[in-house]
Formats: sequence, C-alpha cells, structure tokens
Amino acid sequence: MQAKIDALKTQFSSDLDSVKSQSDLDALYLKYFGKQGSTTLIMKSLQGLALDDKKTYGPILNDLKKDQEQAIKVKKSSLEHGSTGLLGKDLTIPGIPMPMGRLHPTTTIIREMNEFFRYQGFSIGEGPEIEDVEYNFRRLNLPEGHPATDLQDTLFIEEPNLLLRTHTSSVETRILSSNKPPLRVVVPGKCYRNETTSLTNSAFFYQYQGFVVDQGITIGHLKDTLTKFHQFLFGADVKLRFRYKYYPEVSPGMGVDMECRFCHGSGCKICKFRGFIEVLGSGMIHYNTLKACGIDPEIYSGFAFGMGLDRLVMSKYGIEDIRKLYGGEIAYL
Amino acid sequence: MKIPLIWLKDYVETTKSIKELSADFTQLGLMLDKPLDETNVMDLEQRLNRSDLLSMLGCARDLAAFEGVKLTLPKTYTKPGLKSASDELIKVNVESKVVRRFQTRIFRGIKVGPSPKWLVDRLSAYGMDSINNIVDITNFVMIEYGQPMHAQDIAKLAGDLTIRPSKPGETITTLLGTEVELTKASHVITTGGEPIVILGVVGGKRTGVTSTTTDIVLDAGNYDSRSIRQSSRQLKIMNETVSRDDKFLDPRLIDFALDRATGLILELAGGSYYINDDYYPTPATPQTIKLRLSRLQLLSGMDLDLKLAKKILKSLEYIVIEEGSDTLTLEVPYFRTDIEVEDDLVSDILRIHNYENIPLIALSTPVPNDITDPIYRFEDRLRDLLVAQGAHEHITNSLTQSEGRVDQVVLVNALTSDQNALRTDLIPGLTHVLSTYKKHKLSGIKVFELGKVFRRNEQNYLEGRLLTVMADANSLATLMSSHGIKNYTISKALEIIVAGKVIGSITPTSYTLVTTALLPHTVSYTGIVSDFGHTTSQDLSLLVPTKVIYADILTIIDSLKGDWLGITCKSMTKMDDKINNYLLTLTWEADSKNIDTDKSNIIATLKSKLAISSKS
Repeated sequence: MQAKIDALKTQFSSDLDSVKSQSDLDALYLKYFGKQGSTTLIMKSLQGLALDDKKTYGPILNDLKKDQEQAIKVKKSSLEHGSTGLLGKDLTIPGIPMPMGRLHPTTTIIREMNEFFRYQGFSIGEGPEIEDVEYNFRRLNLPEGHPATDLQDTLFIEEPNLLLRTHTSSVETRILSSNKPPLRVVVPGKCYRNETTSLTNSAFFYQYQGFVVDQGITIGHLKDTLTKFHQFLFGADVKLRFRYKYYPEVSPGMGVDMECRFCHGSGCKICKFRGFIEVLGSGMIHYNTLKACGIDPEIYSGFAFGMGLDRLVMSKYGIEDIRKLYGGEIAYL
Repeated sequence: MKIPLIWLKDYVETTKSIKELSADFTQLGLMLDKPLDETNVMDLEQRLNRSDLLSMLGCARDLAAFEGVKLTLPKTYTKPGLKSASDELIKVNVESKVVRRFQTRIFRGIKVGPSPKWLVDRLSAYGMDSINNIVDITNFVMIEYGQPMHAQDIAKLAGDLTIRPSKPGETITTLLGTEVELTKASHVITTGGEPIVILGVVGGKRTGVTSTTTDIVLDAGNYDSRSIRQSSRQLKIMNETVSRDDKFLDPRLIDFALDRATGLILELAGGSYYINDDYYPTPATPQTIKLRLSRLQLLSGMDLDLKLAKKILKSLEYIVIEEGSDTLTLEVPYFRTDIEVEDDLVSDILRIHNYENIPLIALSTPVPNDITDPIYRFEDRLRDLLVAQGAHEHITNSLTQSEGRVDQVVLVNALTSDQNALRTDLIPGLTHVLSTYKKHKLSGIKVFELGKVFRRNEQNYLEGRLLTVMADANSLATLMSSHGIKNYTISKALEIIVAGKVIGSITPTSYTLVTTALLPHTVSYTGIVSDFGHTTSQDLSLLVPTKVIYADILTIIDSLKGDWLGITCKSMTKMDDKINNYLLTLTWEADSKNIDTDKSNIIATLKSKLAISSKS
C-alpha cells in the first residue's frame, strides 16, 4: 500500500509540473479526482483493507488528498496571475478615482442634522419663501409695531403684508396652523433680510428650525434635545451653556452657547474673548403663538429652536466669504 | 447698556469680580456686547422688550435677585412741591397724539455749577462728559431709572410750551450744535411757535441750561415708542434718549425718576421746587396676573414649589395680592412692561433660579406621524443620482436684477439694484458658476441646483421647485431611467414631456425639470425583474430631410399602431446640406410575429408624411 501511495505522489507531482494552462489543470483534476481518478480509487481501496491497515493508512490517505487539492489551488492561482501572482496586471497600483459629483456643503450639513432628528422622530417641514406678515410676524407674537419686526430688516414684496420670510419660524406657524399635535418637525430653509452683502452676511441665508408640540413638553425636553443634537454634531465632550434669552416668539426663552473649541473657554479671537460661541436661540413656544395657530395652550405645550446654518457650514469647511459659498466659488477637491 | 462697577455697587453689595458678575448677567439674559477690559465697566447687550434693563437700577435689581442679596434703592424727594403763582405757571398744551404723559416741574433760584466728584465719576465711567450739575443730574437719573428728561432755561422760553407735530421745513439746532431739518414723523416742543426740543429724541441748544441759568423747567415725558422710533430713524439720530424712549416705558416711571432728580437738584443746586403741569389723560393701572403652580411645574419640568416662586417674584418687586394653595395672584411691577402672559412669570422664576439648574429630560411621548412631504425626499434622491453622474451641486442667490418683466416678482425696498427681484430660473446662476470654473481652468464639469423660482400673475405669487442641470441629454436620459421613466419625449418647443404632460425643458447645454411635476411619474424599484424576458431589437437607418427633426419623426411613429415596446434614437449624422441620417432602434418582444409588418408600416408612413427614406 505504501508503495502505491508513493508512486501516486511522484506521478501527481510530475503531472502537476507539466500543467501549462487551465485546461491542463482541468484534465489533471479529472485524472486524480474524477470518478475513476487515481486518488479517488486509492481512497476507495481503503474499504477493502483490514481494520489495522485502515487505521494506519486512513489518515495518510486523507493527508495526501488534502495536499493534492491544495497544490491544485495554488497552481490555479498562479495560472491566473502569472508567475509573479499578477499576470500582467499590477494590482499594487492604488488606482485613480472615477469622476463623482459632490453635494453643496450646506446640503451636507442639513442632511447630517436631518439624520439626527429623523431618528428622534422628527419630520421635515417646508414652507413658502414669499410669506404673509401673518405667519412671519403676527402669529409669532410679533404684533404690528413690535421693535423686533423693525430689526428683522425685512425685504418686502408688497408693504406691509407680503415679504420674503425673515426666518424659518414662519414655517413653524404654518405647520402648527394646519396640523394637529403631536408634532415633531425640523425645517431647513432659505431666509432673507435687507442687508448689504459682506464677508459674513448676505441678503439670503439658511436657517435650521425645529419644534415639538405635545402634551407635557417642558423646557427640560428642549435642553435634552439640544444637548444630544450638539453631541451628535460635535462629539460627546461638547460643552454647552444654557442661559435665559429673550425672543418674542417664545416664553421662557433660552439661549445656547457652545464652549469655544479653539480656546476651551479661556477666550480668544474666534469667540471674541467670550469663551463661548452663541449657537442658537430657543424656548417654549409662546402661549399666544400656540393660540394664534389654533392649538390650545392649556392642553399642549411645545418648544422651538432656530439657528443660522451658514456660519456653521463656513467654519466646518473653512470658507471665509459667504458670497463664495453661494456664488459657485467653491472647488470640490 | 454699560454697567460701571462703581455705579452698580451703589445698589448691590457684592464681592464678586467683574468677570463673575458678567457671567451672572449672561445667565440672566444679558450677554456682554464687548469683551471686558481693564476699565471695570461691563457692556451688556440690550434686551428688546425690557425697557427697565436700560437702567442701572433695573440691571441691579435682577442681579440682586439672582445673587440673593438686598437691593438698595436711591434716595428720592417725595414731598410735594410749592405752588407757583398763576402768572408763574408754565402751561403745557399738548396737540400731539403720541404723548401719553408729560410732567413738568419748576425750580427757581438754583445755582448752576460743576458737579460733585461722585457724580462726575459715575457719568465718566459710563462714558458721558460732565456738563454742569443740572444737565448731569438729568443724565444721571436717565441712566439710573431709564427715564429720559430735559431741563430748559425758563428765561429763554417765550411763555408756554406746546407739543405738536413738526411742520415741513422747520429746523432745530440740537444741544450738540448740529442743525437738523425736521421730518414728517417728528413731534416737537415749541415755545412762541418755535421748536426747541425734538420730542423723545434730542433737546435744542437755544433753551439749554447754562452757567447763568437760575430758573428751570424740568420735564419728563412718555410717548408712543413707535413714533419715536420712526422719528429718530428718519432723522438718523441715535442717542441715550432715543434708545430709551423708543422702548415701551410705563408712564408711572416718571414720578419715581422726577422725585429722584428733584432730590438731587435741591441737594446739588439749591433753589426751590414748584409743581407745574402734568399732562396725564389716562393714568396707567397696575396689571395683575395669576401664576398656577401646575403651569410652573409643567413648563419647567421641575418640582418647584410656590414658596420659591414667591421668594423670587418678590425679589423682582412683584407684589403678592392673593395666595392660594396652588396659585399666586400678583401685581406686576410698573417697570415690567414686558410681562404679557403667565408664562413670562415662569420665565422670571427660571431665570433667577438659573437655567443651569433645569434638568435634562428625554422626549418620551410616542413618535408622531411623519408629515414630511414626499417631494423633499424625492429631491434628495435627485441630488444623489446627479452626484453619482459626476455632477456638482451648487446653491446660488435667489435674488437677482429685475429684467422689467411683468411676471417677475420685484422687491419694493431692496438695498441694491442688482438684487431687487426674485429669480425666474436657475440657469443664470449656474452659468455664472461655470464661468467661475472656466476662469480656474475647470471644464467639462456638470453642475446642478435644486431650488425655488418665483413668478407672479395678476392674482398670485407663485413659487416653483426646479432642478436645473448644466449637462446634455444623456444625463437627462440617465436620470429619467433611474426613475423608471422610459417613455419621455422632447417636443419641438424643447419641452420634456411625460405621459402627455410637460415636466421640464431642455437647451443645448442644460435641462430643467419641475420636480413637483416629475414626481408623480416616477416609479420606485423600477426595471428590476426576476425573469429575464427576451426582446429583440432592430435598427432603422433613415435619411431625413434637414427640416425634419426627431420630434417630428416620433410624432408620426407614435400615431401608428404596432407591437413595438420602445424606440430610441442612437445617433444623428449629417450626410449633406439636405439630408441627415438618423439611426433608430426599435424593440419588440422576442416572439412578436409583427416585426416585419411594423417596420414596413413605419417606413411607408414616414416616407409618405415626411419624405423620409430608409437605408436599411
């Protein structure tokens, strides 16, 4: 038996050496592992042996079979890739990227934010950019002559009733007026103001608004949501400061600042030596706003927040001039 | 509002550093407007709705409540003044609707001179020059109480005072010596018909107090804040008086402020105080408001009790009128003109309790229904598909220069003429982007924008959602195919048509789709089947007269009946000046029996209707 095995080994090895192509290899496979293949037959012959011999030769034959199969595999690979293992193709060259488009940085940031809020159960809301004074000011607890309406530097289409929305809060009043709570909504969108264009200000800008109306909503929910949001955007170690801040459309109002990431609160040029950077305005939706939108403020309460997006986009991408951001003067590397 | 530390300490005892104090003010809602320097003055932001925070006392009151320390109020003179002889009274005639109150007091036999050091120091720390004791007192009390006031030299008055709207062409020389031409929105105080003060804005030089003055009339008024705002805006005058008078001040403040000024005048300039006219047709009444414990607990999310609420509100000078087991009825202090609703009391309580103490509470109510409009996600998908094609997204300005078109939406108060209207399409913005690219030697790049365009008709203003891609028809074909739209055509007017509906348009260098029109025609998960059906296709090579275009050919073929599943144009080649060669591919089910009939039918019809001959 041992002699037979040795002969088979020698034969296999010389046969393998003479394999020059895939078809040679296929033939060799058949010769040894086909139904009448030499290896197949010698394995079968094991059955006719005495028990002791079975014990001796069983493992030997198994190893032989494994070795042969492995040798065929290696041969197959070397046939495919040539003797160097590559066969005319140098797979070690990393490649050149195929042309691919890019999203605008503002879209990228909006998507990132939307992603966070979608998992918190928020819908995405939209509304008209040409807006009625009713939704832009009145229902936000900004009666005629309120000083804040002056400060908005509104661009009018027809004075005094038709304007370009000065904030995304107008979408909040529209959605509150036409939907029943519970509501969780974020609103990314373009807003406008009557301002001369400069490095940091343009006549249009992006805001990101969010609001929740339900039974039992507290300012603690607002604080928690904004904390998680900033942790998502800036990392778990982000440090926020919550303070009272007046906004006409909320009461109580809340300002949120983030510890300056450059000086860690000690004060530098970036944060204008405040140690903190104002990131957003928020608060509990004003009693009068809920009422004006047809929601009973004795049953429902809610919070709202709003932030400018452009400054965030510009700082994230190192763009210094807002006119370049929205003037096509950004190169996608 | 500038808060010099030495002045603040007149009312609040504190050992905190200026840095700590400014951090406290930040928590209270007044952030630093400018960084701290070595001067020991905090420059705090203004708060739009609280006129009392434009006073030293108002800021000190909030701080004292926040720190839990006592507020020391200034000394005031509350004794009644002497009665003037009837011929010595100065009558005030109010012929203006913007005046809610106008109180005057007369001082005779005063001595105008320099102010004492404590007064000069405080004004100077605030950033004001000392003029003389009388002017300094009016400035000091204005900053201390937030109530502007003026002193006029009685010797320079031509009798009574009249308050009336200004007349066209009237001018006045202000205290600073500049001549101002008055506008329609202004109101003035006149004497002998001549304006001497612009109401709520600035005093005149002519009747001002000088070193020789012995008798003065001191006035403090309360006006419609909007009128003052309009007046100062038109005149382009901004000063300490305007910044207070254009806020909502309570007329009761006048009593406190004038009592304080009276005390100071008598102390620093001597003389006697006589009462004079107090125009006050509708005296203000105290506002009462009820706070429910349940409301406080609901909005705060905290287990606060009424005892704490009471303590905080009292420290802010609310007066408890009635106390129930779970309610407090309060009188709002006169200077808190910002208080509108019960929730504003909750604001005050949380503010003084410090926002840092509000707990984080995770949203735990069931997630509401999704109300996202499908168009939002559709447009986001369009972005992804175009990016996959190698196109770059851009966002460009919605404001543009008016072209004088009747359907363009024009702004009435634009600051610049190059941004005085809303765009009607996206191509100009993207063309500009490509020209920038070209400048930087970037060519062959596709760009796109998804955005709104605006138009008007006789009744309405319309907003449309467009996608414009600066790319060729192959890009469009890829995009349409990704949405399962195989059969779209382009009309002779270069409209893109799906199922008989116009959904966009095409130019040699771009195409535009109305996303809301496209969405209904799209199919999700299109073109994916588990059995590989067999189709067969055959080419038609057509010799087409140059005046005929593909849209014509398609119109004819679409009017015929046959078994073909689809038709595409592979290429168009110019043969000579008269003939173009179009290569069409038609697709049938593999087992269709009518391929030959269909083909000959098409060829025959094209020949008879459009004089097209077939090469194949």
